[in-house]
Amino acid sequence: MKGRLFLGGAIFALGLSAYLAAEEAQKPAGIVPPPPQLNLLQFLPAAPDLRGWQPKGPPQHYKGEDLFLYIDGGAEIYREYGFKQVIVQDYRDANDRSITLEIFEMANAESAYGMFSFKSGAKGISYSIGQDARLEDYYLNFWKGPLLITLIGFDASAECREGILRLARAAEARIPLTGTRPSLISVVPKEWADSARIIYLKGVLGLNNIHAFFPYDLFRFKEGLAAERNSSTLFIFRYANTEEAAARFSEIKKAFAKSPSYKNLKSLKANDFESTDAQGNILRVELQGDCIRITLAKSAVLKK
Amino acid sequence: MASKFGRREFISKSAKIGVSAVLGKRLISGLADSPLAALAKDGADIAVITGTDYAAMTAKAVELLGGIGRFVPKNARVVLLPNVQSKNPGTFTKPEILRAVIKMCKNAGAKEIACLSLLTQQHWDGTGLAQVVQEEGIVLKLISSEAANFRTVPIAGGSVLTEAKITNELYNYDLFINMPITKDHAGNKFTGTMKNLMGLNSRDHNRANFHKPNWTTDPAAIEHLDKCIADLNTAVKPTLNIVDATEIIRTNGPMGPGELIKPLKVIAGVDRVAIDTTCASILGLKGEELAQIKKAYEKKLGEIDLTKVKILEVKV
Repeated sequence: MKGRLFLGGAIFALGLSAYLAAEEAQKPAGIVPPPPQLNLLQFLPAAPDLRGWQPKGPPQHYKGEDLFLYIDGGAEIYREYGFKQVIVQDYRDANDRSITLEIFEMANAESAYGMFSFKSGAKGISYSIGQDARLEDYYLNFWKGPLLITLIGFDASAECREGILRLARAAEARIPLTGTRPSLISVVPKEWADSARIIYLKGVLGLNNIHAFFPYDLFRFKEGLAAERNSSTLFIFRYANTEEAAARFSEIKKAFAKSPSYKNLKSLKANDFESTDAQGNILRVELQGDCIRITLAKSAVLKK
Repeated sequence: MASKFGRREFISKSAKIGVSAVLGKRLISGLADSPLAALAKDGADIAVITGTDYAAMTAKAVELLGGIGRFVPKNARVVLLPNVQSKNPGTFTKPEILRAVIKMCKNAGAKEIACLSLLTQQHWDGTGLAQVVQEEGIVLKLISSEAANFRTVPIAGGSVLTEAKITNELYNYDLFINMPITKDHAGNKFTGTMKNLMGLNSRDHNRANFHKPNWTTDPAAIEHLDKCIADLNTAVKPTLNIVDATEIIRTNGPMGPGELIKPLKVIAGVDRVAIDTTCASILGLKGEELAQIKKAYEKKLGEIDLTKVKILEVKV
């Protein structure tokens, strides 16, 4: 038993050090070798942490393009956020209730946070598991370092929700990795801090799932976010530098002016304009340094 | 309080089902040309049934279309295509609906009833649909990915596809009942009757042709997927569509887990464009704003203007 523990610890330490080394290796400019992947098996909860839940069948493992085999037709969004691999394990209790645990390794902590924010709903309950955790009716997402962990219950019964929390905590205890939230999250204005949810964006697919402004990738941001609050949403798109943001702002303004989907375009100042979409939403678009900010409100008047 | 998510028939012991991966033997000219596909001309174009007894709702929907006998003649060989994508709530066709359709086909005198699937036994076990197949004594045919199991079906006038790769097994049957669950899709926003037909097309072909290499996620890639779906639907035409809109996810589709909503509806009809437009509205979407529906309408696969469609809505 001790030997097994030692071996497991050694494998884990090797995996961890390889991961940290790879993170370090990403810092300098130039050609960077692809980082090695973590051994996700080591993060799967096992006895005695399970307390009434038992693994059912062997874990499934999918890497890279093979995600398509697991999430047939829904893999693109994971790819946009930087998917590397996933391990999936089913658990059962004595009453044959099931919980599925998925551990996704994403490109880095920002990607894991991003996918977490995308998958989490606005109505969930926050828990102190991992670096952020949200329990919805029958499922829980949390992230830790470059990992996104999803637990899905058979139903929303108290037993399943209890089991989800137990397995989540058991998995969390096995993951010593940490990471930082994307810095862009810190630029969310104070008045939007009470947003029901903030979704970090890595590409146009994520954006279009929240709001499709144009039928093509007009914004071409490096990273972005959407903060949802009542009947309004704040979008912030960040670019490589202020010059790129300014150039893009100019293109965006032209696109709004040309599009039959938007009306009543008026410039308020040099670096912002307003428009109205076909649904009657008011949009204010502002250039702010290396970011473009869009406030979309269903009400007729935007707060100044 | 516990909620059940429509798995009331689910019994966790995996059903052991006779499974056969079969090569097509009995070649027919193609279901698109089947005279049975044109039977439903009277009655409602679309039946929308609301309630909580999913089996009764399914039966009522078919009744409003003129009854199962209009679609399934005596001695017909019937193939069913429910959605078994994952066992997450709101992502797969409910077992009660599958069971109701099987029973109706039996009552109509069907000679053979089978479910087709390009997915695995694990998918069927996890959703509880395997249990239904076993208990009803019908056949589940899991089609493995070998190229020999699929036939090339030319797509004349395809926007992007010139051919589809349809499972041979489909052509061993007289008629095909399409049984999707409608739900969100993180790529093209919507899954309905037309998207479900990807479940008949070779997964390798889907992967290589419907989705762009390296999972490109720009709008052009998504529009390409929608065009492929519309093209595919010109190659295969279901005799009947019965859609599960009872408990469905409206976020994180198609696999979930996502926000579960409960429209508690079963929708049936022949016109895929009209049905998908109806289903889209349940998800808060407009058919004309969804490329797959719009493209299919442009290909004259059905009616997008629901004011021109006879829709009967009933509560049971």
